[in-house]
Amino acid sequence: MKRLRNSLTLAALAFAAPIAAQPLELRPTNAGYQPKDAVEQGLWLEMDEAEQQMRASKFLIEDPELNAYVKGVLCRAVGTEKCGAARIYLMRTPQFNAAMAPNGMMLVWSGLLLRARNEAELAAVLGHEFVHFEQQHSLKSFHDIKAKSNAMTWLGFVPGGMLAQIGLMGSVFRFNREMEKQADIAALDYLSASGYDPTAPSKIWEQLLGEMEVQAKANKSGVVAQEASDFFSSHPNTRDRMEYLRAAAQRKAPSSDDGAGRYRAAIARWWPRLIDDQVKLNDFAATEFLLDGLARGSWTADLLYARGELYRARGKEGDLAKAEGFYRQSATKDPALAESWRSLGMLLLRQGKSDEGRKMLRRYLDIAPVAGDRPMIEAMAREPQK
Amino acid sequence: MARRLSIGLALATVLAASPILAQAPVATEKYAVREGFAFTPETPPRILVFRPEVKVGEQTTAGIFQNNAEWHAAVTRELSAALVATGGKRGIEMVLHDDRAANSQLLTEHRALFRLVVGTIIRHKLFGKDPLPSKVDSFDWSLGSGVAKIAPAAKADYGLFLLSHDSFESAGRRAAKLVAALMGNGDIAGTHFGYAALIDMKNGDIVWLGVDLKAGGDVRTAEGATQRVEQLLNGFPVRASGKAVAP
Repeated sequence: MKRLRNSLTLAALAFAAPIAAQPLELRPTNAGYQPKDAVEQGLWLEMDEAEQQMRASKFLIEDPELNAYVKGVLCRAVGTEKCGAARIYLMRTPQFNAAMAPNGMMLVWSGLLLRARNEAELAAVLGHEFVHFEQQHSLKSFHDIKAKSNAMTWLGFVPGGMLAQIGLMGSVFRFNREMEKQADIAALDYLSASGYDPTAPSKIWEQLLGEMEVQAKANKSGVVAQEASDFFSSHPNTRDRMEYLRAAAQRKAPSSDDGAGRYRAAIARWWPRLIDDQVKLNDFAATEFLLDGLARGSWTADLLYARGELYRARGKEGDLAKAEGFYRQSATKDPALAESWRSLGMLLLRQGKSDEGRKMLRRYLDIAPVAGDRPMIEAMAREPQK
Repeated sequence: MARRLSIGLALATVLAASPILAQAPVATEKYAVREGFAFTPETPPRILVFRPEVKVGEQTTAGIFQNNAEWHAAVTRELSAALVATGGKRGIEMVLHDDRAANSQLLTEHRALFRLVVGTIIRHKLFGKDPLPSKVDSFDWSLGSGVAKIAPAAKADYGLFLLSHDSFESAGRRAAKLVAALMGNGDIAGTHFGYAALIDMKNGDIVWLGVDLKAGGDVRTAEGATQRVEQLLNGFPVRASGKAVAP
């Protein structure tokens, strides 16, 4: 709808000025766009400096293949003529997040790669961040905060001004929630226009909501942290978000292209490291939920291995036996998955079943002859001297 | 998600502008020198000046910091020039380092380390109320010998890092300040904070550090930058004399 209106406006412009073609206003997504005023220049400068530090970060995932894949997904979603304006940085951080700065720097946390189940879900999040960038939401937000906080300052000098201050503060957050919703809806337009499954965005929120709920239950707080306060939330309530995205998806042309196979292949090499980071968060309930959601009833060798790692790490009564079971199932499903043999071997050693444990570790070394931990595992797999 | 934090911070700044109690005057300017440090008397030292770390902008009425790119360029330029000129007056050869040149990654890492170490010194040695037991009688912080790899081609004996954070009050802020003062509220002026440090480029030792919590001089101008540099270099090791005292 908006796109239609835009093209009508453009058509009107073209007719109105047939001789001296009016120069079109450059958008941040256009090549050569430069910040316009002092506020925008200041924001860019700050972000340029942050980006320089980001490049030196030890958390940066530099794998060129994975980077090219993620960039490719963004390009398919928002179009190759626009995606060049974005510079993607993959950060090895196990939580679900992505962000985009006004200068075109996009941060994608590895926890998102772990949680997305297919390309369409990844495209939904990348598209959402890209809309923030394209529609200059950071800049608008700064202007909004500046104007309202200035008013708040003056109200601070007036008796009884405090209520109005709180109202203004709430409106800053409301303004942000509106931009988030705008980005959600525009990202869905992108997703649908590029042929992806339009139900992907609501599904990823549904999964995240589920994770937040089991986490809250495990922490016995009973309240999902983000849902506790609406008035001072910068983002829409996750359930609302899931629901309006689901409703909006029904108005789009259905598509079954979610790119699940491509997605799994692209992150396969990173998957063991991503799940390892997640297991180390020591967040049992959420990780179990996450694995269950990824498996959706069909437990692959990878997922069984991860589940074994989770139970082995917790190590409560009965957990080690369960972990052993998961490793064995994993090894049966895919004997080439070296990590299962290693973990199984270590677990057996821990339980005093030394002979079998050493056998499993040697199996690991056979499958992964150039493993980085070879010297250590070799030492553990050696038969004790008689 | 990331934006929520910044909004929270911005709003917290506004609400925190509460009256500040009158305090006894405290020194805002301090320096420290590594024990026994002196320039070698025979040869004039060659100091590599790294691009100053500048943050400059306007303080909005509510006290939110608004970055200004134009001022940033001016301050970076003027401070670099002032450093070279001031060094010259003291018989020290100061050369500017080209930041965008090779090994910028290593420099970025060391800048981050440097900020952290200086933060520790400020908090636990120069100004803070919680001194580190092992550092009470010493000033022996170091960035490590990795600094030698940052710019070996420059053949510098020392490296000079300088940081300058300035927020200038907007017209609205000045008015709000006036009203606040009339209502008995305390000082809500903009910040002008800076420090400079001299690093031994062979082993990374911090041999001198000067800090000014309320620095003077409008660093956007040549005169102001010179004033700021002169102030920060107060206590800078004197060439060849070798006599320097820790506060």
